[in-house]
Amino acid sequence: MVREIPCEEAARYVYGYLDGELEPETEKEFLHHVERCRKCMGVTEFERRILEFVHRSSGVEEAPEGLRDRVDRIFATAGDAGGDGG
Amino acid sequence: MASESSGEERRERIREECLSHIDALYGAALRMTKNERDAEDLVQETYLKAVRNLHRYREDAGCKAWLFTILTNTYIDMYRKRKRSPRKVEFDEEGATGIYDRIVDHFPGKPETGLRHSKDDLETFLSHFMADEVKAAIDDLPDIFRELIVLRDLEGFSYKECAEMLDIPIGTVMSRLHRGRKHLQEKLWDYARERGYVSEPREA
Repeated sequence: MVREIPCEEAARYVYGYLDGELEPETEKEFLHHVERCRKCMGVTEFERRILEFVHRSSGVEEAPEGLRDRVDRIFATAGDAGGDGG
Repeated sequence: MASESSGEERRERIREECLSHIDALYGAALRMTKNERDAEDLVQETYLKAVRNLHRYREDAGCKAWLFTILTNTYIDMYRKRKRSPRKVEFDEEGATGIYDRIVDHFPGKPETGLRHSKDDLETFLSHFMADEVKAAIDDLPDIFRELIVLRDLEGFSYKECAEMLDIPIGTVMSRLHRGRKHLQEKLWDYARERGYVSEPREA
């Protein structure tokens, strides 16, 4: 038997569920509730879509060439120094 | 001789692995510092420290998490220290509740689905936003929330990894993430209202 939880408790687990961070037992209780509660199902779906949207919108930034060159030199310099005392 | 060349190979492998994360580091640095020059400085400093601490690098532990730990610590040392205590902000942000109810009220929903809102309503709301507006909303967040949104929602680190990087308890990660996300939603709502994407009924 899965423990019945109220909406207020389910609300606290929404992000944990979407982040894949709930304990297995808690996740079971959460899903058991959400499958039977349209409001909580709606909230969960809503939060999922916003998180996906934020992730998508933040996109991929490209490091500027100049930075790339400087970082390359950091490694090159470290290599030349022969960290192990050559 | 043999050990020297395998040391060389290892170093080259680590170098390539480290460099493969430069775009992610720069993206996170940009969101954290909110400007390109500071972001470049932060990434450069991160790599300098990484190279100096290569002896601590363990290949099985995950290069990206290792670099992000250095980045986050460096960011906190270099930038956040300059600012005053975040206590006031923490207190002020307590009330963020998110915008689910507002979206539901704004879009009356489709009676036939039985739901108070439909997926399309939220999609319509979100479709108004340009990527730059979302980034601006993230940039507007108080530091302690923005850091976690970057580490978790943009970069996908686990609660545990976030907790280790920021040196805070997992419970704090969870509560800040919760409040930060709700707060971000409200920022998006405010942007939408300012630009007339949604109109909020006048207070009764």
